[in-house]
Formats: sequence, C-alpha cells, structure tokens
Amino acid sequence: MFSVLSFDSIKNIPVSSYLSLKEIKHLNSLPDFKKKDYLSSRFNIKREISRYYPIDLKKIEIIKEKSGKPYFKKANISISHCDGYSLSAVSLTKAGVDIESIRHFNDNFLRSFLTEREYLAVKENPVLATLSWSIKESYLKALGLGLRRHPKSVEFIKGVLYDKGKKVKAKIEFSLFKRKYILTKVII
Amino acid sequence: MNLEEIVFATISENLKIPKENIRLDSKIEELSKDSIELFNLIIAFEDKFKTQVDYEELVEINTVSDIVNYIDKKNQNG
Repeated sequence: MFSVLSFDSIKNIPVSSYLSLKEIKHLNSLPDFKKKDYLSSRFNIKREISRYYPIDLKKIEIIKEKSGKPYFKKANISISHCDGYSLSAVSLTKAGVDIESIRHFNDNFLRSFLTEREYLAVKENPVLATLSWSIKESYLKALGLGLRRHPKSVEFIKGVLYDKGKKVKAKIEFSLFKRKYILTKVII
Repeated sequence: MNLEEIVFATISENLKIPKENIRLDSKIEELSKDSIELFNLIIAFEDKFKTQVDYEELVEINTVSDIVNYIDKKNQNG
C-alpha cells in the first residue's frame, strides 16, 4: 500500500496549518520549482506520522540529517517526490521509498547504474529500467545512504535484491502510478 | 576556462539551468530536480575530469563551491 499525495489535493490548505515557522522559512528560501514538491512531501509524511502518533501536524518535527536523510525521533521515515506528487513511509524498521517518472535513459546512463545482468534484462524497457533505478534508490535510502553508495553496488534481478553480491532479506513493493510513474518501497 | 567556470558550465549543461542562476554558495540539492539528475551530474564530472568520485565523500559536498574544491583537491592528488 502506497501513500501518494498530489500537491493539487492540498493546495488550498494553509501552510501554517501543517508547517512549523522554521519550515515556512525554509519553504520561502526554496526556488519556485521545488516548492510544490516540498509542500506535498511535508504534508504527506506528517499525515502518515499522525496516523500512528497523534501530534498536531505543525508540531511534528522532521530534521534533515547531514546525509540528507529525514529524521523523526519516534520512527524511521522516508520521503520522495516528483512533479508535485509525493510518497512517504513510516516504519519501525528501516524503510525507503521512491517515486520516479518513467524515462528513456540513454545507453551510457543505463550502463552507469546497472550491473551487466540488469542491463541485459532491462535495456529495451524504460519501465523496467526506471524500476531498477527506483528499487536501488529505495534500498539505499532505507540504509540512510542515498547516493553515498554507487547504485551498481546494489543489484535487483528477477525480484531479488543483492547488496555487493549478497542476497538481502527485504520486503519489496512496487507499482505503476498513472501510467507515468513508478512507486517503490523497500523495507529491511 | 578556469576550474570554476568549467564546473559552472557542467552544472548548467546537465541540470539545464542558466549559468546566471548558479552561485558558488548554491546548494546542489536545490539546483537539481531529483537523484537521477544528481547522479547524471556526477557521471558528467567523472567524464569531464577523467576521475572517479568517491561516493562516501559526497556527504561533505553540499554546494557548488564544495564541488570546485573537491575537484581541485583530486587534481592536485593526481
């Protein structure tokens, strides 16, 4: 089950009802093209957190760690956004989520993030290629690393995830959204 | 072109933003749309400077100025 939210669905909600003063200050410092994603993802993760912890949305404090990973003191969280859509997860174990628009990568780019086996399996299929990127991204986010590890160190082949060649015990979910986006969630 | 100009040009070309909108203190995360763009940028720098980025060190790179310093250091160390 994915928690997806569009900016359009919250655009009439006053930001002061779910953002803290510090977050509003941060919002104002962002370039315009980042604002919708920020609002959508903040509302989304806070709404998810409030399902488990009854805290007023604007009082839910989400801190960004030095690595860029969002941190909430009571549970593991993960956030992703794309084109005003956001995806979030709240988990007691490590979790990572990702939303990506399906794209046609050039061959050079495919080879840069896919292992040889993955490349051969997905090179002709943009949906599967985007899915491969997204699963790697979600897994690395669950580890709290993001791009601090090369995506090639993770391999997703025939539904199984490998980390540096070693099989990973993970719950992997993925879905197509609006025929345009890939949603993924990896829980470890 | 000096190193700073090459870094600005590479960011501008890969993230498709005008050079005038890039400053030394611009945060990379705020210039790029998503992680695919960021990864693409890393590859572009690796190609341009014939170097290999140490991904673990990326935690220290937040601004355009950090990229300039990182590449400068890499060049000096051969």
